[in-house]
Amino acid sequence: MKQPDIVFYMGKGGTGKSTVSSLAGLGAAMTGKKTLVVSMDAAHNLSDIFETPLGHTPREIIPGLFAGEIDQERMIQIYLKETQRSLKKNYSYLTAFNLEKHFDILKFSPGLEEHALIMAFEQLLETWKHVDLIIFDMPPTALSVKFFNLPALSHRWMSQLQALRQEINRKKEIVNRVKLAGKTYERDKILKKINEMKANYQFLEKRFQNQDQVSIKVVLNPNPLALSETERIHKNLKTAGIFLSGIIWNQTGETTAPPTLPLSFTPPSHLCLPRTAQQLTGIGALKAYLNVLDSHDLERLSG
Amino acid sequence: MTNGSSESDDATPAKSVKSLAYKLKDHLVTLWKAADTVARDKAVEALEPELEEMEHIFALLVQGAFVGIPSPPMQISLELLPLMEKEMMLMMEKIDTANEPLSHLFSIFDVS
Repeated sequence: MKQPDIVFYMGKGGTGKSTVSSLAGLGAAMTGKKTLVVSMDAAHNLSDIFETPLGHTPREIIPGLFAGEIDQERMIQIYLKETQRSLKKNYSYLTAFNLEKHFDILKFSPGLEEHALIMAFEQLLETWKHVDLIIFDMPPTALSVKFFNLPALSHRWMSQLQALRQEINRKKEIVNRVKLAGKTYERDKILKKINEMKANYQFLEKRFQNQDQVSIKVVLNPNPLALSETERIHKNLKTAGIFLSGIIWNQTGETTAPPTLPLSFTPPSHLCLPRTAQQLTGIGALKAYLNVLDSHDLERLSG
Repeated sequence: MTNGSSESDDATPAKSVKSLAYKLKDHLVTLWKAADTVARDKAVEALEPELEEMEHIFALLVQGAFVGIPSPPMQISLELLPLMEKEMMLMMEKIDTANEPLSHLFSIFDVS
């Protein structure tokens, strides 16, 4: 079965990522592609753009177009509940005593936001296998970069921990063989878990690096601040072996000619979306805007 | 009668030799086992503390946030935490010897 294509729209706050994501989703749905648009930004505004209430579970807003807004807090709570359940199962009753109270503070732990997004991403891929395209409207740069870097960073940690654990087990085996003539052999649950986690992070890392499966596009306005942030995004993602698939210049002026601002790298594709006097909210207004674009531009927008 | 008495006289020394041999064998087995245990303990006496230290390093790397050192991405610590009861106990025990690392090391290598 064919996996859905995945497109991420990221960039500096206020550049129009949500509008571009909505346009791309609607454009793809209009060409017959079953499309899901998901907002990963905590400050959602897909509901405002589509002028319809959206929740954590995506729903069909017009035939072939589904949309939803990920509730980060909810994902963190689900994750912590699962960790807590696992702790209670594995720890003796004294250690687990009153754990619930102490775990409350963990929801403020730094780093869980990007993990919550990773979980949401994995869950959506699992649940929405049947669509042709999934579009992610990403949060502003800092969190998005952490999201993309998390699998590579975690994979590096897991490799290191795996090597140490294997060395510990090798030494344990020697001690067991000598002292107990190898009578007791206990399977290492920690190593098993590390192996599982490492495989999962490796899979995600490869997925983000594979431009045939995943497109990452930056939405920017023609101004120096948005430009320098785009440069930083490119540089940061490159360290994790992830490359941008395209640049979308939003609100470039009256024409679709690309701005002459210099970028230090050449993106594989770029598209210019001209400014419009019309408010881009509601399916009607979005459709009217898409009608101005030619088919080639439409393809580049959501492809 | 005479024959019977002579048989019984012959049987007694034979029996006692046999039981002596058994006792000797038991003692030898016990001695062998003790020597084996001592030799095995001796063989791994340097390896065991090294193993314990490695487990401690592992616990520190994964759950370092508990004692104020940088830790891996939070979800790694949280997901491994339920399986690390033993390592956490080891970290707690280490607090007792943390002030005297050299004396702890000397006691491992039996330096007096």
